[in-house]
Amino acid sequence: MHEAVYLVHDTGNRRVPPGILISERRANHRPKELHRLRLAATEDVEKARRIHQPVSLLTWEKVTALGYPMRFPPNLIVAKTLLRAVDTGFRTIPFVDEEAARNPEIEDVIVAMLHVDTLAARALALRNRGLVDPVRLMQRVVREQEERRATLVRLQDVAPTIPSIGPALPRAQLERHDRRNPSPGRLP
Amino acid sequence: MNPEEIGIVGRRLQKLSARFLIVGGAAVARAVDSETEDVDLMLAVSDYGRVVRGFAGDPSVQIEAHGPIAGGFLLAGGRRVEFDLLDPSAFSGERSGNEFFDYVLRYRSRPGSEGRYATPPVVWYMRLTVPDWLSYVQKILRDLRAGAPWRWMEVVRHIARRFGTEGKMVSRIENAKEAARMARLLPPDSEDVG
Repeated sequence: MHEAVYLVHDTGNRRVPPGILISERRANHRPKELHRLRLAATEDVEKARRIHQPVSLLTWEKVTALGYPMRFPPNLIVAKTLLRAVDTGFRTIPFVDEEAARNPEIEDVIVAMLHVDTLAARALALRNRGLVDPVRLMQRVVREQEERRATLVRLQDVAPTIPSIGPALPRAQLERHDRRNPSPGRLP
Repeated sequence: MNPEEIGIVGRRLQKLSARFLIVGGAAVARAVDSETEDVDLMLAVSDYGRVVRGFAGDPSVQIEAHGPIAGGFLLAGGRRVEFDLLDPSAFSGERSGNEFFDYVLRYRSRPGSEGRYATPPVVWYMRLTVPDWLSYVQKILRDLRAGAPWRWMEVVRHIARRFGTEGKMVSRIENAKEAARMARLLPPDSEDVG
């Protein structure tokens, strides 16, 4: 026996974009067809978001726009409830919070970045202090059980109520990194 | 905003008979409470190279040009005033730099005691039109947080249409909009401009 997760197409909803729902099989004695979600390209993720699936892409463009210039391949943020029904070549970042997976806010981006580059996550938090809600950041870290990674890069500097779990990198090392990789723009 | 320092650089430019417009954070700060210490001035194309050379020969000025941006500082009355000078050709798309300068001068600027200030949407347009535009989205977020309305992007698109840069501008505005949404500076799934 194994656990399997499928999507069931609501027959009342005919506005499903083509190409992302892969028909799996009809369940025994059930009128509804079972599907998996195939997300092979950026456009597929956008299509899935349009039908309110809890997925989104974390891209280097978004992180750079928030003040930390860097490059990395796109990562798929996906709700844990959906994860096993998704076929994708993207690296996945599972989120407990479905709304945060579909419409990530700045704190969600920081939490997701803890999976990609912990030092970048810290830099994002520091460079957006005025925009980050420290309470929501704490709540999101706790909900996704990322206290250990958050503590490693001392996200408590931005959200002091994040529970400290595990070791933290030396403050001097972090501060050296904080000064690196500034936004290169010289325009006003 | 630092009108005194803008005035110091502006007077040096006037001595060289250079035409200039005040752009950047100082121009935005006339509309919203946006903190900036920048002195950013866009020169007429014909004046840009001449001023850079003139400043380079002035012992009280340090200047270094990197393509369309020349940055440096000048010493005046015991003060060190940092500035950036911009060549409008970097922002003029399919048209000439002079056309961009004249357009902003005529239609998109307001007088101030230190000189004419570009309107804030011009500044947003300039930030989004350069190759490393992503680096400037955060400044737009800062302006939004200070109370700048997203509808300024309507003017940005209008300028982009006029200068043939709309093709690239649409996706850049979309990216800025997504960043603003992530920062809760726009409502989710906003149908606002852009």
